[in-house]
Amino acid sequence: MRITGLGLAALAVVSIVGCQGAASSPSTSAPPTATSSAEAPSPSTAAEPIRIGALFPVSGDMAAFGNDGVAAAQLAAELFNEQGGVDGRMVEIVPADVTTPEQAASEAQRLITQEGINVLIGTSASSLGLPASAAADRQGALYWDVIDQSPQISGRGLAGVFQFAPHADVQGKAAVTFTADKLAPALGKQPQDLKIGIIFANDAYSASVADGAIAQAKELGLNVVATESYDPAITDLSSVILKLKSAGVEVLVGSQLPADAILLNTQSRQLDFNPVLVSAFGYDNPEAVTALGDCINGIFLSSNPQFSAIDPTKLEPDGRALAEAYGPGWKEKTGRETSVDSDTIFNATWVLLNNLIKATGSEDPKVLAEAARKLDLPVGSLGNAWGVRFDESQYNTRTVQSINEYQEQKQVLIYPETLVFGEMTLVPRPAWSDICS
Amino acid sequence: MDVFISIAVIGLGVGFLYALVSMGLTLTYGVLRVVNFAQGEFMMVGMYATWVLHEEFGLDPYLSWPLSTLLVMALSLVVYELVIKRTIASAHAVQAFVTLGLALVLQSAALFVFSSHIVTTDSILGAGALVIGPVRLGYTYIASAFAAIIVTVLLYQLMQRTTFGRAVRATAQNAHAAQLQGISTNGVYRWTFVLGTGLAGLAGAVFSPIYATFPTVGFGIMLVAFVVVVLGGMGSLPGALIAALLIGLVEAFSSYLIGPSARFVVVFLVFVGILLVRPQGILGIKGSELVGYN
Repeated sequence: MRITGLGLAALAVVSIVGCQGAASSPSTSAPPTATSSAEAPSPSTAAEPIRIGALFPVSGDMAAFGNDGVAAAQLAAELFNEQGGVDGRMVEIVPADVTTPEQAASEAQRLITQEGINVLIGTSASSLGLPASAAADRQGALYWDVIDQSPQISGRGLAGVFQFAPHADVQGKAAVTFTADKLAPALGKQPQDLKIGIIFANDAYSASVADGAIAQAKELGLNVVATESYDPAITDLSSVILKLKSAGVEVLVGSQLPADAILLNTQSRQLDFNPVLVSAFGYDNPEAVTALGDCINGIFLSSNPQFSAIDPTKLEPDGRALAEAYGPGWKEKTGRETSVDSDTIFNATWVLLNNLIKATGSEDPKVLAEAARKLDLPVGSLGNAWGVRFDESQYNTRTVQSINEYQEQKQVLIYPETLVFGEMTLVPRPAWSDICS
Repeated sequence: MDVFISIAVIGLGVGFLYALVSMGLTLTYGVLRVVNFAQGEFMMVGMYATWVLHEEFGLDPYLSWPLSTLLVMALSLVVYELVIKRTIASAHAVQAFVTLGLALVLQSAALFVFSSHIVTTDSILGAGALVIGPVRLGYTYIASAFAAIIVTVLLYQLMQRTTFGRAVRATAQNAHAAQLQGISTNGVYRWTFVLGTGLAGLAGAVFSPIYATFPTVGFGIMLVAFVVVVLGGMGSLPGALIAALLIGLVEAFSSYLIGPSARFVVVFLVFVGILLVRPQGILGIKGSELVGYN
């Protein structure tokens, strides 16, 4: 018994020493797994890739967004690898298709426990990001949320979850701020004299946008004469439009799904309702441009800055270099134009690879999380004009919202002045017949 | 006052659209006793067919609608022979699951072929509107109204004045007795299903210039269509038309007076209220859920 007890004690000592060895030299150990953190490190090879799990919906309704997400992450990894990776180790993006909340949680778990991946990114929909990040955090992994905008992502106090993109209400606030700052003078009115309407689809994201708009309008003492929400399955907006028209709405702040956005525009023309429209969602996609043609001109978008609308000379040198690599790289990789989502995901992934993994030389989630909390990149450091600084809830406070106007069916960034690339054109709005046939 | 006239006109315009989708559902249930949960997906197929004809051949949807409708009917013929025929004598639960499964298959097929990106079909009618004083009604809604009225009249004539129509009514009343009279009930079922889903395809063609097309577009309309079918009276075509117009008006006025997010609440309150007073529906006959088409 004594001999057995001594033997057990010796084994325990060896294990503890082995553990400490693994923790103190993460750059030379094999990628740690959540269940193997107490094991002795395995010999590393320079060729062993650094694997990042990418949870996106690459099938189903959200496939268009999900595929952009994977491509953007892969592009960031490719550019990173061209610069030598991390001590010769290349980054490999490992995609996982997630289309339901249940799948998001199970795929996060699978990547961590079966694939041994401890750093995850995702997901293009907060309804997927919430369960994925919770599952990742339970396993001790790092969840780098590159695009989701629900306040709950960073609002749950999960130590391993970081939210890169702004909360949806920020877009609503930006739309109203722009209305007061720029639209009111252009319309020859005091901001408090403008009649503002708010219209949004009843989904979590759009409702959050509307909350931000309403709060900001109240803060600025603006006159909101109508607030209308509707079920996303609606097939007719005529009555709502008549209501907004009866209320005399001059500026309409909205967030729609793409199909409703097209319907709103079409039926507004049918009913000759022609306010200035500042939209957070619904018109920022190529399908809307194809569907509406010139009828999209004069619509303002409150969104994350779109890469193609940013003046690169207004960025910091690092941001400019990223922008110059990203644009042509994206076109070559996908054959498509960039999107706001791909811009955001590319830059978020770049920060993870360059400013966390390369800077620390580690894939340990705890090491990366600690480094993330200390990150201090000024606005303009990234190709999409953002910076990075996480607050205590691990939410990035250095995002920038821009206002773009559709001019000749292309987005032109017109606000804020720090990034301005063009000027407003269709304010006051001419008649519909002068905008499009 | 002008606003209320405008809302009423809009409500009727939307109602005619619901009527087109619902009448096919009424016909299918009235004769086959099959609740076709895939009716919205056949409408979606009609929308995609219209879009393809527009993109590839430049055909305006209001000219290509016969072709779109025929394409949907061809598909539904295949579906009937492979799937629906085998469920005619099955329990309602089986039929429900089969048609639900069919809906998912059609949605997934559309997703696979066309992806999730929305597409839109232009029409020469575009966003134009008929303007009479302060009232404006989009040309597209006028077109859907014409289509619904003509379809209702033609269907009525078909059912009342043709041999096929008599065969349909006989089969709906008593399939066994109809067989004994020499009526091919399988043929009646087949062509009634094809006709019913063809109406959904026609609705899709008419709807496509109004609303964007994507794989799950049929779902939103179907909820209302089922309400219309029950409210109008199971198996009653004129009832479906009246119920559709009523629902369109209720939706339009409730959207304006209360808000669009309240529309389903008000619609279902009206639905329950009418059924409490008249359980067989507006033009239904008592026991028509057993008797079928009337």
